[in-house]
Amino acid sequence: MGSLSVAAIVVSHAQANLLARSLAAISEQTHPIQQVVVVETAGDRASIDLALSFGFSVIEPGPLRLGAAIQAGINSLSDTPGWIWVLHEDAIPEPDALKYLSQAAEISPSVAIIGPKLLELDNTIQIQQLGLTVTPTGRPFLLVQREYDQGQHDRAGDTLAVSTAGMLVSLGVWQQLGGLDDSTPVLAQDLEFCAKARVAGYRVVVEANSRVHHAGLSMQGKRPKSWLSGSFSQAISRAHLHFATLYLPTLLVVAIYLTLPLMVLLAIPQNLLQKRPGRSIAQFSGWIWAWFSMPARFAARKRFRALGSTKPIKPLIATRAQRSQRRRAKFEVEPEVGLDAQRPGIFRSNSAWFGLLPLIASIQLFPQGAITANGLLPLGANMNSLLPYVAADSLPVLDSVNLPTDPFNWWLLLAGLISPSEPSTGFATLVFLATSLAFFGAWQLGKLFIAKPWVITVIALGYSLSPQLLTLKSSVFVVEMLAAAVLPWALFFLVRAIQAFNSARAWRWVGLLGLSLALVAASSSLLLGLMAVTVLIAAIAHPKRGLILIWALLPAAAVLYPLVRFAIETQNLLALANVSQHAAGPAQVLDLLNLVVIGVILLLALPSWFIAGAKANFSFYGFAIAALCLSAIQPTSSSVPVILAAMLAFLVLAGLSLESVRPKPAKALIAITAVTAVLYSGFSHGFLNQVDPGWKSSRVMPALVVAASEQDPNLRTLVLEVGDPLTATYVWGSGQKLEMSSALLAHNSQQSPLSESLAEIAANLIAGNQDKLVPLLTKTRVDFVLLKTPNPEIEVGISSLDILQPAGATDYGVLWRVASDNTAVAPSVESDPLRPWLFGIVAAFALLALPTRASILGRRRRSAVK
Amino acid sequence: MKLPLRILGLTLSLAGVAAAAFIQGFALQVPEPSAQEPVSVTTDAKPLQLYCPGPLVELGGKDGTDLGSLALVGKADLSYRLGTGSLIAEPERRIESGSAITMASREQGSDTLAALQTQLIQRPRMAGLAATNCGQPQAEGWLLTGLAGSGFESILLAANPNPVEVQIALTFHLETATTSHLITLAPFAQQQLSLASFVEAEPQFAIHFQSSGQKVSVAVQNRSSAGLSATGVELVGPTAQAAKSLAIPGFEILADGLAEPSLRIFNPGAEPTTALVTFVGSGTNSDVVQVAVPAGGFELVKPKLADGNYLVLIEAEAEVMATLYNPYVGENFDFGWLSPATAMTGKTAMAIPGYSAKLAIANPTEQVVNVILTLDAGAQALSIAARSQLVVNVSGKALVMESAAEYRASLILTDPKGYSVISPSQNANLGSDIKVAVR
Repeated sequence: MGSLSVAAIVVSHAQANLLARSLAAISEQTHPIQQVVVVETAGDRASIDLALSFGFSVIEPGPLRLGAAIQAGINSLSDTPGWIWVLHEDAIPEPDALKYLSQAAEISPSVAIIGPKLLELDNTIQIQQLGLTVTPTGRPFLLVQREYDQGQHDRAGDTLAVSTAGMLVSLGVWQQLGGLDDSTPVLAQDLEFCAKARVAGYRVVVEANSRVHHAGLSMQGKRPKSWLSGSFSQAISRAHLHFATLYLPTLLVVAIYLTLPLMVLLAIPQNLLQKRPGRSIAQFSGWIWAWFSMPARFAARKRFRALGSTKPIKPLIATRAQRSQRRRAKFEVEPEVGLDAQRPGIFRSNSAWFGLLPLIASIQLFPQGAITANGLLPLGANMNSLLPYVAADSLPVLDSVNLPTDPFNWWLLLAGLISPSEPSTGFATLVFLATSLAFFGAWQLGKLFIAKPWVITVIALGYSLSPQLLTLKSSVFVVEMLAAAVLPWALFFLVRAIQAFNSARAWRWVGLLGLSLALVAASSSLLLGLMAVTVLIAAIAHPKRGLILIWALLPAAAVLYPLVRFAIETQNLLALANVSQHAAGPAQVLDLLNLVVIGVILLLALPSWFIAGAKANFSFYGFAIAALCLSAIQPTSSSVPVILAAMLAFLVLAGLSLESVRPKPAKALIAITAVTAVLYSGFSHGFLNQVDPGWKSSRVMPALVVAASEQDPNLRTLVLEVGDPLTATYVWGSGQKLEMSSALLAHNSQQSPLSESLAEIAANLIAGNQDKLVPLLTKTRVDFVLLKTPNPEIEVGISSLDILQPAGATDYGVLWRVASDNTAVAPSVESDPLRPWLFGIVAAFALLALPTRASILGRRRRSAVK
Repeated sequence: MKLPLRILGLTLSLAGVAAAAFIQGFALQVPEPSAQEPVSVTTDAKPLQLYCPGPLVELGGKDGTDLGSLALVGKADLSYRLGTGSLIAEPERRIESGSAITMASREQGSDTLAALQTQLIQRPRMAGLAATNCGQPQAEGWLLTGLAGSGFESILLAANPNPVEVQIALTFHLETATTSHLITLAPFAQQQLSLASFVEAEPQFAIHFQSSGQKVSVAVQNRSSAGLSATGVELVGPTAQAAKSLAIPGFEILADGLAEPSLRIFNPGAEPTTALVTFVGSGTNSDVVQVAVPAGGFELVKPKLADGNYLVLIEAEAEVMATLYNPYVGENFDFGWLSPATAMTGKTAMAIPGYSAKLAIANPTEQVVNVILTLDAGAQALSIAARSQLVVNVSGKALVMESAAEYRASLILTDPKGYSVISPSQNANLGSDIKVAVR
């Protein structure tokens, strides 16, 4: 029996169930306890009655913080003990816990604070804490965390700090150091107190034989938010900053405080890569908190430093080896074992080879330059020339028109990323691969619900070689085709995000989902509407992932933001349908082809009600019916993508029906029929339905103009097309490119003072009248004149003008250079201040989508306290 | 899932699909984009300049023995009508060489200035009446009246009425080949070029000319002879642009069965085409001929028509050009080239030279066209039925036609010793009411 006089202070905060277990454990301690005081800070009647039933003292000091609560407990002690044993209501000590702590105190007089081994409450063989320390920057660091307790750490040893849960502390030292400082962030209170003891010349040790089971309510986020003054991440961030202020050299601390905003910003990519976007918010709040509580932090530093030198702390700081070991331990994985993970994948089942069929059906789209069929234009010369037109608010028309550029330009940006030096080729590549992309996406989606690879392959081919998709291809309706290609992927990512077993993985899938929805938004606002509703319903139906899922809509919102702002400003909601000038026109939803194809697939899908689960049936039928209903809305763009969305849902359901067919002859018959139908569709609507994509080079203006525009970005060319009426086009720089398109331009006629001057120039040019030309050309900044339509009469008329120097006949028409100094600078347009944020959002989701160890492996989240 | 729930789900699914199909009936309508209206601009047009090719050219001297000799013979009579405005310089009434007539006026058109030249020649190797409209110089155009081979001679008359040198690219489209030739003309220079060496004695050919700089005047002189007798001469300017629909007014059978008229159709395109030729008789029978015209080639139509006046209408699948060779027998033999007339609206004026003149006003459209014809003697209203023409005698110094609808016209000049047909031109530089769509 030990001789140490110990009083136990149990701080309770309305957790009667845990308190009951804790008090029971205290009452069973083999070491005598002089007095047990329960400090109920929430005034919970049940807790108070419970404590009284054990015969312990109870005080209700009100909503005090931890330090004051313990102090209140000490103050209420009837006799002054030598030591106090601090416990939380969620800490349940084993019977010998206090005995071993006392022994450690008795053995070494210099020891002032002893901490037990904290074990998980719901997993008693797993260590929760075995001493605390900090990283060299002052971030709290657990020496042992989530390791199975095999006695590997069972040796008493010095540590920087121990948790207050189960801490045995000399009352004298407690009083000398002033107890826990409640102005300190909660998660740094124990660190600061123990560090003070260290610098004051005392030792802090962990006694591994003393075992306390700890629920860790604070770390689990089970405490009220006010307990931690925010989330756990925010509390850690504040604790980090506080301890850094105490411990680090003055100059370094000042530097840290000054560079906090920068550090917070720089940490964002890392947090995103680690799939912990919430940490950035915590760091941001930590920065604000640190700046606004700077006097308090430095006052704490002064008090801390007044106790003595910090040298005794240094050997106890977490070493590089310890930190590395912790990082490695994080990735000791439990691999994700979903139902689909046991099914053969697209490559293992050799189904990937079928992805060549859609490519063969699109062979005429094999990239050979810039696609110019169907009114498409080449893209800018390089990635840099594309960027100014993505999410921009003005168009290079006349003297700049304040209309948003097409959201479809985000697809062009992707094309630019594929081929930065030749975006037109990148775009052609995207278009060529679109049907194959659709195949792989549909396959991945199908795999989530269907077990048999041949069935998945049939439905994936059914989608990618459907007459609807191939007709889009053969009509070079690239906007709708790309939307349809990315749709299966968006659905696949959505399901994976729902199924993800930890938040890191969920964030990664949400990153991919967000990007795919952004691409959907950029090519079909109707389809985005359908997907947005789907995501919201999924978020509501899966509340565990709901708050993460809804973030997936953010990139799509960023993509559509300029258009939405325009629609609100002009009170023209129909403008939201104008995602691309090159979108196909309205489609006949009830035409024979749609009726036959959808009808057949629906007939195959209907048996799924008697085969598959309710969730899949309700989800896919709901999705398909919503898509078909949405297809009635086609104010300016085609509804084919939503029709394809309905088909995809029916195809998955049809796949569920097909895979349940048991008799082999029936199975063979269905398989042969389905494959024949799909191949026939691919052959007739794809291979035979060839189209000339109109391959051209990326240059749309004579080489001289292009070269001059590289020297002078303000260069303008007046392009004349002879006809009735005469058309005068004011072309910026190196010419009209695809990224400069805007569907809104056709619906919003623009009046500009420049129009009149340009009309006068055009008239004077074809009349061969030079008198008025000189001031007009200077005023409008026309550097070149290009006569696009061959017309020798007008050509001679223009050539007779002294102010124009003939620059020769080109493939694009006859060119003249204006022989005057056009030094006027074209008006610049202020871009929306939110524009960088739009890119930032998309970039953030790209970082989230990047696979990292945190998301590929990760740790399965433990269930919370029961 | 229980069976009733499954059945309910199935029923709801079918009902949902049916509802979706029903909703299609209420599909939103597509708003039409608002088309941007073109801007109408008026500017000062360039001074109006007409150019008369000048007198006829004789090759080989009076006897035809002076090899390489190309000489202007005689003087051409210039007739012009001046509307508002004034000429920069008063032209000679009888010109010894090509001559430009220039005026500055905001208002332009044949009503402002119209001119033509005539030359009745009677020489051992050249006889007949050659008359041509004095048109605006052109940067590019076609000459379709090339004649070569036995008894025929063609000479190109090119002139540069500008103060800067020009080059003219000539492309000869023969039945079997295409050849090119480049000529350079000094400022205000004229040049005559015998075409015999370029056309390899092919009976018919077309010439395309294109100036490298300023506009030029180009015309072709044709001469025919039978043995030692001259059988006609004509001077013809550029023909009308290729079109799918052409109308040649003023065709009259005048050779009394001694010679045959022929219609030359040229297809400048790269694809063969077919043309339907209708000879619409005035007070006589009409005739319709369908011909195939090879790509880049010619087709000759030789109609068998009774005496009378005809309006020739040509409808082709592709754009074609045409010209009609019409022999004349009076005291002498002569011939005229009838070119497709340009569609006119509003006022069109022509000078009338001192020969017996008839005006053919044609209406190739399906609607009746009313034209007011004003002569020195007074005005008269003419009503021209659909797809027909009216031929009226005209006298005095000038005539003015006016109509709100489209009409075409040609002036037929006859003399006992010659025959010629002239088509009017619009005589206007671009400047007023130019419609420009700015993007």
